[in-house]
Parts: sequence; C-alpha cells; structure tokens
Amino acid sequence: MNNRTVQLVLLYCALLGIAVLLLAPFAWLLSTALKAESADLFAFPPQWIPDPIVWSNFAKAWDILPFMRYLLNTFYIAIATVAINVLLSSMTGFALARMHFPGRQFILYAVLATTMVPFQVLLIPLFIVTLKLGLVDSYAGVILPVAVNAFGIFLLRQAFSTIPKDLEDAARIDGCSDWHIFSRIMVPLVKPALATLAAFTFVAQWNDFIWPLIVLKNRDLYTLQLGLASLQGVFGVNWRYISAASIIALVPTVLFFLLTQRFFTKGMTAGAVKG
Amino acid sequence: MYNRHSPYVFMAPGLLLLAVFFAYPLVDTFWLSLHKYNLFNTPEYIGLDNFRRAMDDELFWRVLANTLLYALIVVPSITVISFVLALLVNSSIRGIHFFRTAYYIPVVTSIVVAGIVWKWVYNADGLLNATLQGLGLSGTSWLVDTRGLPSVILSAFGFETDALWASEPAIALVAIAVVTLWKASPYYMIIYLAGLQGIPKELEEAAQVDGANRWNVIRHVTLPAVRPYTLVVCIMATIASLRTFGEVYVMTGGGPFHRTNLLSYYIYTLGFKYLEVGYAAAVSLLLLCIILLLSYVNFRFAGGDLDGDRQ
Repeated sequence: MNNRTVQLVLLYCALLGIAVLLLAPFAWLLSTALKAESADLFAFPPQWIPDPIVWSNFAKAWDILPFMRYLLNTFYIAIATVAINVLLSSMTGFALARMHFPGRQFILYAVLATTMVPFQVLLIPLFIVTLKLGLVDSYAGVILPVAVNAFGIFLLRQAFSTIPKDLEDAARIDGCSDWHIFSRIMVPLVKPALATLAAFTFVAQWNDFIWPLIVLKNRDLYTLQLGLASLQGVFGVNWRYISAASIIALVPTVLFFLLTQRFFTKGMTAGAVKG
Repeated sequence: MYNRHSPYVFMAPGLLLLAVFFAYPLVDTFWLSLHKYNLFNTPEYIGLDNFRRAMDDELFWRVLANTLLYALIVVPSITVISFVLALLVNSSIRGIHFFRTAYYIPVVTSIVVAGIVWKWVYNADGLLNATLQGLGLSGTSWLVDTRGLPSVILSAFGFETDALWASEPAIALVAIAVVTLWKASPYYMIIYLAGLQGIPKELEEAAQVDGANRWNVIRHVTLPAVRPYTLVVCIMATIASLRTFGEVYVMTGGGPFHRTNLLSYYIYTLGFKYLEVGYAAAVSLLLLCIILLLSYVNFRFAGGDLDGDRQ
C-alpha cells in the first residue's frame, strides 16, 4: 500500500471510531428498550443485541403515558411557532432590508443585541408577563414568548438584502402595493432562508424543555419532553420503559432532521459569521 | 418608493412580541431585583438588599464557582474538539456526508432524551462502568459520587486522598460537562467547517510545497485563517455553558450536595421553588453581568487584533 492509501484508511478509521463513540449511547438506549422483563439489564459484559428481542416495552410506555396527546400537543405547538416565526421574521426582516426610514440601524442593532441576553436570565419576569396576560397553561403561553427572535429576523434580513433592486422597481411600475411586492415577489425569492428558519424553529420548539416546564402545569397540554421528564418518577427505575419512551420522543426529530438537514448547515453558517 | 408608513406596519407584529416578551421582562428584571416579592405579596422596595444577600449567600458563591469551573472545562474542550472534528470531516472522500450527518444527531436530540440516555450510561450498573470493568478498572456512581475528579483518578490506581486540591472539579460536574461536549461539539463543528471551506486551497498547498508538514500547515495557515470562527465558537460556547440548565435538571437536580448546581438552575429553584422572585432577579442580573464580561474578555483575547489581520 502506498502512503496515500494508508492515510485514507486511517481517516476512515478515525471517522468511524468517532461515529461509534457519538452514537453508542443511542444504541445502548435501543438495546435496553428491546430487552425482555427477564433479561438482566446489568449483565456483564453488556448485552448489545437483546435475546429475545421484545417490542412490548414500547406498547407499555405508550399505555402508561398519553403519548398520542403529547405528540399532538408538541406537533401543534411546533407548527404554530414555525408559522408565526416565519411570517413575522420575514415581515420585519423585509422592512429592515429593503425600506429606508429613520431609526433603521438602531432597530437592527437593538434586535441583534437581544442575543447577548440569554433566555434563562429573563425566566422569572417572562413568567410574570405571561401570568399577567393570562397565558399560563395555554398553547399561546408556550408559543408567543419564543415565537420571534433575532436569529430569524437577521437571517431573513440578510436574505432580502441580496435581491437586486430592479425587481422591486419593475413591480412598482406595474403598480403593485407594498404588501403585494413583499408577498408575491420578494418572499418567493428567499425560500431557502425561510426553509432554514422553519427547520431550525421546528426542531428547537419540538425539543424545548425549560419554558414549557415553567408555563404548563396542566398535564393535558404537556409536550413530549415534559411527559418524558415526568416519566422518570412514574416508572421508578424501569429503564426498559423509560428507554422505549425516549426513543418514541427521539425518532420524530431525527427523521425530521434527516429529511431537512441541508437547511441546517446553511442556516448556521448564515447566522453565525457574517462577512 | 415604499409608503412611508409601511416599514412600521411590517415591523409592528414582530417588534411588538419582542417588546412584550423581551424588552419588558428585561426592564422588569431590574425592577424586581430591587424588591422583595414572592408573586403573591405587594412588592416591597428594599434597595440593593437582594444584591447584598447574594454576597453573603454561601450557596450563591458555591454555585457561581461551579458555573465558572464548568465553563472553564467546557469552552476550551469544545473549541478544540469541534475544530478537530471539522478538520476530519472537511474532506471530499466518499461517504463524508454520512459522517457529518451522523455526528450531528446528538445536536438535534432533546436535552431530556440526552439526559436520560446519559443517566443510563453513568448508572452504577451502566454502560460506562461495564466498559471500565472490561478494561480492568473500577467505576463509580458517576452522578452521585461526591468526590473530585483527581481523587477518583487516584483511587483507580489505589491511592486514597481527601486533600482539598483533589476535590475539584466534582466528578459529577465533569460527567455533566461530557454530556454538553457530546451534544454541542458537532454544532460548533459545522461552524468551523464553514470556516475551513472558505480557506483558498492554494494557501495550504503553497505551504506544503514550501515543505511545511501537516501540523505546521494547521498551525500557521489553517488556524489563523479560521480565527473569526474561533471567536464565534468561543463566545457562543461561553454563553451556552453559562446558561446550562437542562443537563442539571434532568440528570442531577443540582446534587450531590450542590456540586452540580449551576447558576441557571439556582435561579430557577429560587424563582419557582422558593418563590424568592426579587432575589432570583438579582442573581439573574449578576449572571448577565458575568456573561457580558466574559464575552468581552473572549473578544479581547480571541479577536483582539482581528482588524490587524485584515490590514
């Protein structure tokens, strides 16, 4: 073998080794979820492939918690958040990118400055506002406080900035209204940025934990993550059920990510480093 | 030209949400921090008492020390690991997209699932101990053990010590930091990858032609070229590590004996468990000051002469 082949083999070994290291916890989770009641979870050496493989732990987890309810709640909350975020971020980003008005720079910097204050710092006053608005224990209470953020506005602002001015002028001559220019001409041109924002927002909201934990007390409104977290108490230490439930919660996000992954890398590089 | 009212109409809904759910709570934090308030009483103005209380609160100092120690473990490790990962996946070999995708899966895993998975790995009879046992080493109950990392390592080789220097960082804190590294490094890897892909190929090739070995190319060409990305990674990782909440909530609840209690979690317990709303707001502001200060420090160190590079 020549030097180049050796290097290639070494690279593949390193890549594979890291993949195993990063994904082993998931394999262990799946293995646990498929183990029979009689199988020793703490056997040494660890048994990676269960014998026999049983699926009943999933059914059991599904029985003990109203998973369907949690799935629907989570789905509804995630979709509504995506819709609001995409609409309002593109409207705000559009104005900041294409229109000239006094205070434009100030508003842009103010929006960007919000990223310096993490959510956790505002947790308590945010809860108080939500309480005063009567939104505690409601879908709106979970959605509205996190629906718009600097990432979305800035991402869309950057996307709208790159559109040539001629398009706008042509539409203007044709007598289009401002809203018409925005919704019919400009928005279709920033579809990739919209898809990126939608994908990010969906996963973020699907996985969100701290805010739903604070704002939702009624178990009928619980998201998957809240249900899963509460499960640890319910099952005591039955790791088979907990593992099965975790997998039920994990699979939708991973599938969604696999289908939309190209938007993820795009969004991160657009949002993280400018210029 | 656009109608002169249009910009405000377009921005109104988005900015309204930011005003109600960001600006107002931010101002309210300052106001609350000067009051004694438990959500039910009439807020009572007490000046800076909440801040004085923090200065005398031993638990606050303990938690602050934990948080800084945690950031000190996480930020440098994450920067190095994500850079190395990016170097590895910055290649055009067959199947590289599979690896990039596979590495990213921990990032899209929710903190609740991640916490459960790792609790199971760290369990006294869990995967980690089984692996260690296979290597002939003895494990421990990683999230419950109150000892420090140095004393655990020493005891694995048969030396028992209670010395103060061996008690920090707590083994449970390191265990939580590992989860953060696992979950966040691939995210920063993608940021570094964007940086690496922006480096002109000729630059590295020229250095190789000049006889530089791989290590020298990385050190003198690649690293300086991705410096703006390093700054972004450092600042983002610092802020993220200082606000860590989910890992603590799901895995340890701040235990054992507050050894994994971090500021965000402490604020949460103060506000929502003990209803010490005013005091919690004061501690939140202290956390905000630390975040702004450390971001500034990062900027000075990692990006201090960024403009100089461009000239």
